Amino acid sequence: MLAVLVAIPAIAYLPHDPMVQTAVAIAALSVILGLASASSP
Amino acid sequence: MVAQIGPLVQVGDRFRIAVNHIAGGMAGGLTTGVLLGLVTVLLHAVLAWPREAIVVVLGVVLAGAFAADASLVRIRPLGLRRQTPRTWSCSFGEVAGAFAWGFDLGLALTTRLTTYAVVVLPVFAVLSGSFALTCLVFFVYGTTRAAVVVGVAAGSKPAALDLSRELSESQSTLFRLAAVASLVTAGTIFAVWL
Repeated sequence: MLAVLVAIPAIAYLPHDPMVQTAVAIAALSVILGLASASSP
Repeated sequence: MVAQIGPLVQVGDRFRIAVNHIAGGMAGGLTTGVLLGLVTVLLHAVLAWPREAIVVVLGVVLAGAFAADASLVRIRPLGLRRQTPRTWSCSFGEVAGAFAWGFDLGLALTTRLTTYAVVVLPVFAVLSGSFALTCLVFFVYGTTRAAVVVGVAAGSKPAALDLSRELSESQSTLFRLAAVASLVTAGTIFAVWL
């Protein structure tokens, strides 16, 4: 979870369309949200 | 969820159940992605907005999610209040039930929203105007949500019920990490567009 969190800012340096970079950032966030959802009973 | 799927993954036909649960998560995420992808394509055909608007809207939503997940502000829980029905393993059988649980979790919006930051996914989907990117985001969410349940349950030493209790106790820490992730994501999106 922490590894993904640290990796998110690096997405800003990817040479891509801003919309694609935004989607990758949201996808990385969704990984964290998926991990956090495991705590739900 | 771990308490429900855990015993199935830890004993019996564990491989098929684990694979079916993750496949269900993938299918559920993709289903929501396809449906919202069609919505965003249709909306873009009818309405027009500047691409940069996504920065402002996502920034506001992520800031709100950070404040709510970090318990800085109190917002009424969003979305449906239901969880995956525990009777599905009886109704469908263990393997098909595991798939159905994964599918339900992967849909993202049919069960209780675990963190406020989940709201950013449909908001991005609607604003992006991209069918493929919408599918990608929800596919990743559905897969992760299902895989983490299987991973945590299968790789744990204690019984799934005890593990579920442990996870519930660490819930506030995980939610704070999710809140920080919202803030970091907002900063990254600003850096990308500015």
